[in-house]
Amino acid sequence: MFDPNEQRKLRSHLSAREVFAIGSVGLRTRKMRTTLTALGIAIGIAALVAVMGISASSKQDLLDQLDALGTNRLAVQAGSSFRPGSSPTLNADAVAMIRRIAPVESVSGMTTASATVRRTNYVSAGETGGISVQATDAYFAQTAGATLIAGRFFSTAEEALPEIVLGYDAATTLGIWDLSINPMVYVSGHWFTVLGILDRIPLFPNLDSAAFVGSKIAIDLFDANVEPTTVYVVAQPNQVDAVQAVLGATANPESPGETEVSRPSDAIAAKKSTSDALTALLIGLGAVSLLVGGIGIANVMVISVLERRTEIGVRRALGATKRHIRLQFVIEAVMLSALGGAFGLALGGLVTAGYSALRNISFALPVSTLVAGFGAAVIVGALAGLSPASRAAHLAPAEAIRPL
Amino acid sequence: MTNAVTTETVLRLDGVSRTFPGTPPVEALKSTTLEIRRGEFVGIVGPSGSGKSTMLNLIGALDIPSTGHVVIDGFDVGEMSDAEVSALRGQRIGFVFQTFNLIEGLTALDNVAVGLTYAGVGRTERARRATEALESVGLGHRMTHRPTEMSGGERQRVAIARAIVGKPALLLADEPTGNLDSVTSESIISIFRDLHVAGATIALITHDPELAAQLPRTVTLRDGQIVQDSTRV
Repeated sequence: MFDPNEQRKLRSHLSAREVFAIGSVGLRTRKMRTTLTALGIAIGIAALVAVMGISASSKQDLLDQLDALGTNRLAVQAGSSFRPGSSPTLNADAVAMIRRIAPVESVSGMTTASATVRRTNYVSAGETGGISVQATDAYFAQTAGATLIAGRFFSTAEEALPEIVLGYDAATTLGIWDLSINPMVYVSGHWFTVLGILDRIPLFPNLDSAAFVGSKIAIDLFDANVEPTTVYVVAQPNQVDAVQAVLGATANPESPGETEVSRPSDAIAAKKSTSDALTALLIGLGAVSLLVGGIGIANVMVISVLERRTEIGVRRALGATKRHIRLQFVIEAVMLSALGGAFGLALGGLVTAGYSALRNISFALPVSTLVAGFGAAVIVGALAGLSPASRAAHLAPAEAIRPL
Repeated sequence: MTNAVTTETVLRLDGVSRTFPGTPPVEALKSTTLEIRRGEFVGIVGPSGSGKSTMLNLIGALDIPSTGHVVIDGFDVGEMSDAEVSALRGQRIGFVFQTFNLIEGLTALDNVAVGLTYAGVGRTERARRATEALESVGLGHRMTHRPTEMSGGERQRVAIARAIVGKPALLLADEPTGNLDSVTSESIISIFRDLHVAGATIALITHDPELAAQLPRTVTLRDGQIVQDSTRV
């Protein structure tokens, strides 16, 4: 039966495949218990995967949104002046100068006029509704990424005419939605025809409560500054950084340090990524359920070892070493948690898909999340199984085999 | 086998004692010497508490003696590592227990093949040998059944198949008929007789003097000592 040369070399062998086959016996024998125990891990992993998936989806959605808005829009503002008594403005020909920067696709200057907008002249002069009057040119809407929900923006030729375009909030405040009746508003003693209404401007939300008039008529009627306070710029997408670097000096060559160049898409991205209190809470929840799931596995493994004393004894009598027994129970615990982990991944993926469908945002579930989730399950299983498996391995065969 | 001197003796207990710690310590087996030769069928008999179980554990390498040497098929158990002793049990000794001790979740065939798995025998070869062993105990038709679907007698026959599948040097049976009715017991004992006739070395532990008296050699234990060792011709 045995090779005579093998006489002095007594060894037990167990291939990896056999280890898994043996480890699965206990799970298959007690299906109900296996399912319930795996469920704990599944919920933990599902929570973690869903949190990471939803977070990734939101981020992806934000990136998609920013892509749609354009990350190549910039704004130059006159910052605080170091010279006392002078209100900060940019150079009078800042718009013309910036237009000469080669990779600039579109430029629009804007200055704040000291005027108020009222629905009629019967409304008291004090009730401005917080609407600011901005004097700008015909390129403003396209440069700031604003779209019209009604009417149109004024043309270059109309910059001298008493026409006005309302921001979304300004229109709401004034109660003007229907342009078919040619509504007019009262701007510091003059009647202006409402030419169009803008949708919200995601990149420049502070302009939603503004009303826009042509720069020429603003200078004529309201004595507005010729120098712009803000210049909006659209750069070629691959040249944004280069344009951003020279904007300050171009807009105000005398004191470039007094300008503020901003890229609003960055600000939005930064703001979104910091509002993560809920995410932290959910991750905490996932971690706790994973911990509880792990304790559940450890508990079940302890019971399993007690119940299967005889089996352990028999396996020891049939040639299993301590290592084989330890391996059997660790693998059983790992398979149990991996089962829960796999189920949890599916569940978490489903929750993420459901959430993105419900909120109508992009769906993203990075492979790294799936790998991390499954890895966490396996590690929890291994840790939970270690101590019970060790107890099983150290049972004395003679004692294990006797009926209690 | 190659060496007649080492293979003649399958088991040797050499001044073996086993003391269990406690107050006072219990000496379950007192300086015992025993030799079992190849092809013998030995009954080890004695009342409860006589040291039968302790002796079984030592003979089966499930336990280590406090003093003395246990030599199984030429291997001194006291000088071996856990891994080596495990392999020795798996590959040189076949165990049959009173309570059958089959693994619940496995079919009869898989139960018989468990020991071969640890001996590193491949899947197909395992199935072939396990089938052969089950057929030899008359259970060729019950191979895919689980222990819970079988009678006590059938379970014990599966256990015997499991014990003999590796063709061990020593077959160790601990009260194999203790949980069976008299008719079934008779059929189990006759399986052991057939194995003995076919050349197997068997040590059968029992508290039943009547059963022991039918065997070619009977070793009687009392209070941890061998009080009688009789051989019938």
